[in-house]
Amino acid sequence: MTFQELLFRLEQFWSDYGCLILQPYDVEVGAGTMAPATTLRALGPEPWYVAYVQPSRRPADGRYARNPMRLQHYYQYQVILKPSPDDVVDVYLESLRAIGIDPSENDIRFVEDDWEAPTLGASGVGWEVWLNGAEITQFTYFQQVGGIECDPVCAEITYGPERLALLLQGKNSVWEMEWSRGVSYADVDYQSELEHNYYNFEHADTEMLFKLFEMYEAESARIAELGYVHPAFDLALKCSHIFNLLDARGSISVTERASYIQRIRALSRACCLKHLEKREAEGFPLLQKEWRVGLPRK
Amino acid sequence: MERATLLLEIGCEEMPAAFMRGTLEQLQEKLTTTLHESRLAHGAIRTLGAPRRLIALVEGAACQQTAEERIVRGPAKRACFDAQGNPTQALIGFARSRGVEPDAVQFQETPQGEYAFVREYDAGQPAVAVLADALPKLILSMTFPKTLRWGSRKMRFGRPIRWIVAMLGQEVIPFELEGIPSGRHSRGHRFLSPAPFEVESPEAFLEQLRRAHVIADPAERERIIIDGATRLAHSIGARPVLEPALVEENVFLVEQPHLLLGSFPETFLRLPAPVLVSAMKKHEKFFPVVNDSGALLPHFISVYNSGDPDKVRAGNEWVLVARFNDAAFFFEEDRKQPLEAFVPALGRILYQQKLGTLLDRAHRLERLAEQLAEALGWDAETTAHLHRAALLCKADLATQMVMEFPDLQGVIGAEYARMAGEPESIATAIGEHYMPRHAGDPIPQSALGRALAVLERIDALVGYVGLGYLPKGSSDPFGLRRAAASVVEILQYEPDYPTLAELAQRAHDAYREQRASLKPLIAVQADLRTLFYSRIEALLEEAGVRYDLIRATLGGGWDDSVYGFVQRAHLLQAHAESPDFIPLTQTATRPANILAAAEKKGIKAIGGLEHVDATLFEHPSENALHEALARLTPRFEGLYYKHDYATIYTELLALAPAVNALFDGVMVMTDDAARRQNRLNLLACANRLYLALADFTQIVVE
Repeated sequence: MTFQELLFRLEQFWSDYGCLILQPYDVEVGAGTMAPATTLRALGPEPWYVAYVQPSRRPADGRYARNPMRLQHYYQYQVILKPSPDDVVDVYLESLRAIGIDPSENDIRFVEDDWEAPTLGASGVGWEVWLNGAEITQFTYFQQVGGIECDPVCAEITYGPERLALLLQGKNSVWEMEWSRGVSYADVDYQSELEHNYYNFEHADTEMLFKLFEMYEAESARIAELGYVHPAFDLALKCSHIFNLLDARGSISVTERASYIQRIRALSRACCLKHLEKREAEGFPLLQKEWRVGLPRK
Repeated sequence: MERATLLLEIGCEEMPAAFMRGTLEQLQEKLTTTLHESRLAHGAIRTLGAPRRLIALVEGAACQQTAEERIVRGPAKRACFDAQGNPTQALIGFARSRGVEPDAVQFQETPQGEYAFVREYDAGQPAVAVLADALPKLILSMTFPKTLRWGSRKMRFGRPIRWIVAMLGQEVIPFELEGIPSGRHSRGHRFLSPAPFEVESPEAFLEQLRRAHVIADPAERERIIIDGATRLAHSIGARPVLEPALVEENVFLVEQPHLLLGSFPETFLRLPAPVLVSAMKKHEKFFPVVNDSGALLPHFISVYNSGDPDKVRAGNEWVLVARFNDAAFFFEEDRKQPLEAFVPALGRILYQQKLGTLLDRAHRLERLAEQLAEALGWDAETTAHLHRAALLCKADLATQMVMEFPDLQGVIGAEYARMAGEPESIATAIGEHYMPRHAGDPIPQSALGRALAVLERIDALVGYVGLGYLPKGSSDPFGLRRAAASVVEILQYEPDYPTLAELAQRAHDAYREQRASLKPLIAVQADLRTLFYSRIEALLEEAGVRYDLIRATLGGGWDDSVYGFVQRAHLLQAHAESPDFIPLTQTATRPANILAAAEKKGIKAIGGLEHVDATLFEHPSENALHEALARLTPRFEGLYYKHDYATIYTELLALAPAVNALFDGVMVMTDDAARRQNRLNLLACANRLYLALADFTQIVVE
């Protein structure tokens, strides 16, 4: 199965389940969790069933494309189910069947792994899911976002599509993995991976980045104050990415690190609070919608 | 009375392996309490469990509560009748509240006077009704290291609850937990027997589970794992490394254990063995396989829950090779430069916000190492080695390998030091300096390793305690108790080390040099004393020293050398049963008691022989004691710091007649103020000698 077929099948599965299929969010994020479709929508009483591919950037994880598994830019397949259905684990296992993994032939294990995102003030409880010993999914029941308790609780299912495609194709390096028939992951992403590594580690203008951080931070706070949650949150995400770049450049001293994280958390928390306030003022409109979700009958 | 087996199964999503043992113990305790409080007689209680279930089975549980006769007290008799002898509202109300007529109320004498009483007979409720109320409360009262909420529910548990079986014999104990009903339907293995099944009876349940591919008893799963792993390894003439904690984890990661033998390419054996072992154990929960001489073989044993063995093996091997490739990548990257080259990068890793970076810490350790080597009188080469080991011991924290395999800190440092051509004693010290890692772990074998281990802990202790972090109850996030215990465990064998107070002072100075703002030295030393003394106490208690002798030892001593405390405690313990011990204790407490009594009256003795004026003596016993003390005091200085406590003990025995003679010969607390002060000063000198050994007033004399 090619990389793109894998993504199609996941899209199809979750679409059949009744999820909204969104397109990737267009601001740099470190994980699918940080897209507003997760961070903001995980809060409040409104139901929310959504799935999307999210390109993710973690500058410090770059290895100049020399490591077969580690990249500074990769993809996540993100699913949010709120409130978490009682049969959520069974639904997840069904999704593995959809991508050609038969749970009865393989060893599938749920191994404790709780999750925390300090810049979002978010934390959850869950597992990493193992397929014959390889981690293929992060499965989390969100407990808090923006320091606010999640009520109801959503289930977050984050697949690692590169890892899954490697396993399904029996390849040992992400670069050899087939994106489509005859075209490899390297053909698509190798050059940009390498260039970004040089930029992230060696050439990014840190003085500019520090300035941008300050500017985005001030702008995010100002815009949140005006009540425009989404642009304010985008600006907070910009800050988060710039912080990651500075970190990869080794330009943030250890003593400053905690305070930068704290500053980003303050921005995202302000957005979360404001978002909740606005949804409430609107009467939580999605409560009126009739979501028809569930595994289709065979 | 009718009895039946009680079954409770809490079906949940996969519970963390680390929670299980404690949770099952807790379930056992809580159920025992619940049954007792519910007045339900019962036989043996057993708890069992696997990742998806917590099970309790109670043999011979009563189907009815035990009957009970109760005596209920009402108002005082004088409040029960008015002047005419008619029942008052108080009596009528009491009778009504107990469901009887006023004339059925009896009166009885009590220490508080005569009171109204009603005898009640409670035949008891059916157990099913009582448990329907008690079991949900029990489930909700369970605690876990971490809990979660799920869906739209308010309750918290270790992982989401998905079904509940509650039966007494054939009868379901009916209740509901936020929409999750109890019933008689359980589920088997998630993959091998996914359909729910009806429980035939509590007695048949475990067998039904077995048919549904669940081995509910952890002890049985453990046997299967240990036997299976041993057999598989034998098949290739090897043996598995079955670390108990890893066996335990595997026991609670599967509902039915299956085992397989896998392999990896031999070329990976070029990586340091601890790296391979850590990748197998920490990341994959695999058991390493070794030959007779303990050398790692290119095989592993994996415990799995279900699946086609060939597919699972292929997957296991794929993921292990990926891990090894990752490690090999880090290894190759790391070895491009010597260990020393990682030291500057420590400046980018925070140790603690207010205590600086790991580089700051390395610099403090260097300074402390130099001072310690000097205090121990080490030669120039050994001193230089300790100094270098101190600089290098944290360097591996900046390597990619340790960032990837944090539990290999120290081990990797030692490995890389050897590769960089550092002297073996330095490499060994780096490898040993986190020892003892936990209770029961051995102390470092090399003197350099012990020195570094002590300094590393003292630096941490002084830093955190200096910031006001002290362990509270069960909370000790920085492992300070463990650090103090490690110091004590090492220093108990070290006669020549500086005292705890001196070590703390040097560490405090090192922080001050770096402008870290800690609490004043005196305060830090006082807090550390509490921490250290409780560890010494624990150590001595474990060694079988009588508790009052431990208190006496820690209350005495002229300094806080750990070695000294331990030696003196054992000396007291050895003499405690000898006939001269009680007289010695009695004599020793006389000066201490009179000094304490005087101080209560506001008269404070001044220690030191120079404060004793021989011209004020009236009685020969004063001269005699004075002469004895003048001879012994300088002698004790030498004996004490040579840790020759046996001779001190003998000298104190010999001193007793002189002390007793003084108390018999003169009145210490005389009205003559000058003489009184002089005698107290003399006794303070005697008391100081006793204190060299112990605070004898703490010793219990039967």
